[in-house]
Amino acid sequence: MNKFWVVALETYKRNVKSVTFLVMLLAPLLIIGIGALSGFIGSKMGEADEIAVVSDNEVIRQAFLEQSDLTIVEKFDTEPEAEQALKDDKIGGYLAIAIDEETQKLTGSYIGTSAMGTTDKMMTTQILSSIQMSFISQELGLTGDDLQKLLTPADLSEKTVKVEDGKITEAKGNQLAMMIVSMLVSVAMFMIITLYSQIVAQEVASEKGTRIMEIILSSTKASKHFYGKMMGILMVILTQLIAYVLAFVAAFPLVKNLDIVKDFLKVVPLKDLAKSLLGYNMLFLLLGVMIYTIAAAFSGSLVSKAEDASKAVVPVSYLSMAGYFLTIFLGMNSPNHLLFRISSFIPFLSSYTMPQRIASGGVKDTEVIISLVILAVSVVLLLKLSATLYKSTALVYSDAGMWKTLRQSIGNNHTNKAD
Amino acid sequence: MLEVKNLNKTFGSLKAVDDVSFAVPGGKILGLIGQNGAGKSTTFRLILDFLSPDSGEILWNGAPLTEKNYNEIGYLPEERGLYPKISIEDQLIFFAKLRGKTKKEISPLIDQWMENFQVKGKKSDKIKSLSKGNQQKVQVIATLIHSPKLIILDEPFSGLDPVNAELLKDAILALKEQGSSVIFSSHNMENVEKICDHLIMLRDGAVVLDGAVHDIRHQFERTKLLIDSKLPMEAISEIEGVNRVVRRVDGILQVDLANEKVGEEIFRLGADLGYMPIFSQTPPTLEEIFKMKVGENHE
Repeated sequence: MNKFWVVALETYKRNVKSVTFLVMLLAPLLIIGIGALSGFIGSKMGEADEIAVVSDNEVIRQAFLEQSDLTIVEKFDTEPEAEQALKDDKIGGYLAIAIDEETQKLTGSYIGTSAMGTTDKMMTTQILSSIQMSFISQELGLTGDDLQKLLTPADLSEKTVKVEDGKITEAKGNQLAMMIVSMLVSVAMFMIITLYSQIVAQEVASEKGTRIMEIILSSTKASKHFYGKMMGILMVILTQLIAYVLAFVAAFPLVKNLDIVKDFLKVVPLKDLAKSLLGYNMLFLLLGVMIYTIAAAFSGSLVSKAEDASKAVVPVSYLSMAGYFLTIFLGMNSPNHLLFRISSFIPFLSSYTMPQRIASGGVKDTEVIISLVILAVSVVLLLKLSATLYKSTALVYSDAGMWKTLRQSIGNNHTNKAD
Repeated sequence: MLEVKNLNKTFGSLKAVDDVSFAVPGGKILGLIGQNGAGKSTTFRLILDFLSPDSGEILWNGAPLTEKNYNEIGYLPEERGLYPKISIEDQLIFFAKLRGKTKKEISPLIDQWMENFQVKGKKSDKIKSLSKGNQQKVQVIATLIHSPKLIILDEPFSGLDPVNAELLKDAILALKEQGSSVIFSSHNMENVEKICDHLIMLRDGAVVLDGAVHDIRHQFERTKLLIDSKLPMEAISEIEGVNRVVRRVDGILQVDLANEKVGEEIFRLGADLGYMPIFSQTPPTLEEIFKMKVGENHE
């Protein structure tokens, strides 16, 4: 077998079998699971207090009782009774509804031992408003049709277009889907880089720490070993991503009938999501992960002990953070800001910022392609450079700082035979 | 056959390897001795192309040593390196694969090698669960299991007890029988003396001794004398040409002579007094030569 694959498969096997990988694989699922579970518990277990509803106007009270699905104890129907019941701890609170006979304005006041829940509050306001509205419309002598007309909101339509060569063309794709996907790409990339940069650097530095390097370098070329390692790590990352895709495919039939999912899919069909994900965004994600992985590996090769690996990747993490925050803070609000536009061509940052620009429109295809080409070329160059320097950094045994090691390795490289 | 010709390497102002030349034919063992920092490891690293020489040539079977030859190399670095978290078997197979072997070829050999080296533990045991000595044996097995043709061992005996050192010696001799070229460095002169065909001593990067072990020793006069006789210690130390007399714990006298001739006089005096169970006049041991060479021009 080609030694490149020997190294790649060994790296892959060693990492996938590790406990760290299992934890990393399950962590996001666990977080989603815990989130979903607590949401579920919140909705089901949040046993509401029993309350009373009182009003001088029995019509209003009946209308409220009809529309509300709060847990209402109907037998307390006057304010003093309700107050007494509250004192006796029979109810958690009561809602007193008053009406200003002149303006027909309803005022509800809730007196209770604890605040109303947000949903309850919203619903109560809504019911009161609708009762108020029907009172007013009656007074004004409006028919049901009139009321309907009054209540119909104005339409606002939105259409994103592309301006190319002075012509306006319709932008392709579902704007919202693209927005969601660009967010997804940013978050996924940020997570992957945060999780893996450490692992990659550790992987490289630990070999130096144990001097396995000398045996490996007497078996194969340093560059081949480096490429193999990168391939192995990429395979680990892909494994994790594929695991999530499979988890999604498996879980989808279970959740697709939930109302929230249905509503979401109505606005953003799966097809649009997939279309948006599989295009440029996927390329930016993959190349972005690659360039950061290589940078992390290179940083790892500059230190000689596994313990120092976490220090070595700090610059890489910061770079990733910069790209992420640029997208979150600048990209969300003003995707056409000059700084943001420039950043979408800079390797390391472009993987975060370009998908955001694509989603918000206003970027030409040629710009996207130029940015992609710059990124791809940078990946190749960084890979070559790292592999070349790797030969000398891998065998620098000193405790010298990273900068010194880097300078030394560049210096050595002049005298060393080209690899 | 490995040939090293006029190898030079400097680090800054330090001359690490100074015009070193030697050859190791197939089926021969070369011992490289010298103090710490004498240039032994640097020489190995130059041979293996971890470092590039300032000048000089390294030839393997008449051609420069390149990637093509990597599968024929067995290299034991001075400091050991194994993956702590994988099993002995996986470790050996991975390194062998890197030497172009397949799992099929290596797997059946592992049990035999582990038995030969008396590695305590199962081949499914993780490396980190092994004692240091056993880890070192695994490292040695990883160096030799693919039957390399060029074997480079940097301090292979350090950290091994005499029994295990003997096992390693047997393994090296077996590979020599198969026609491999072996080169190793050591501090332990006894091992060097026993298995080396040829010896190089480095000091400050330069060769100070070069030759067959026997020849080297016999370049020196027989100035070391062990004697067990009726001659009192004081009488011996008063003889002209005797530099030093020391009584060993077993009662035998150890005498340093200025030259070989003095031995004849001591023999005559001793024999006059009757039976003399021990009279052994030899050239200095390798260790003594080593110490002498290290000291030369240094004080």
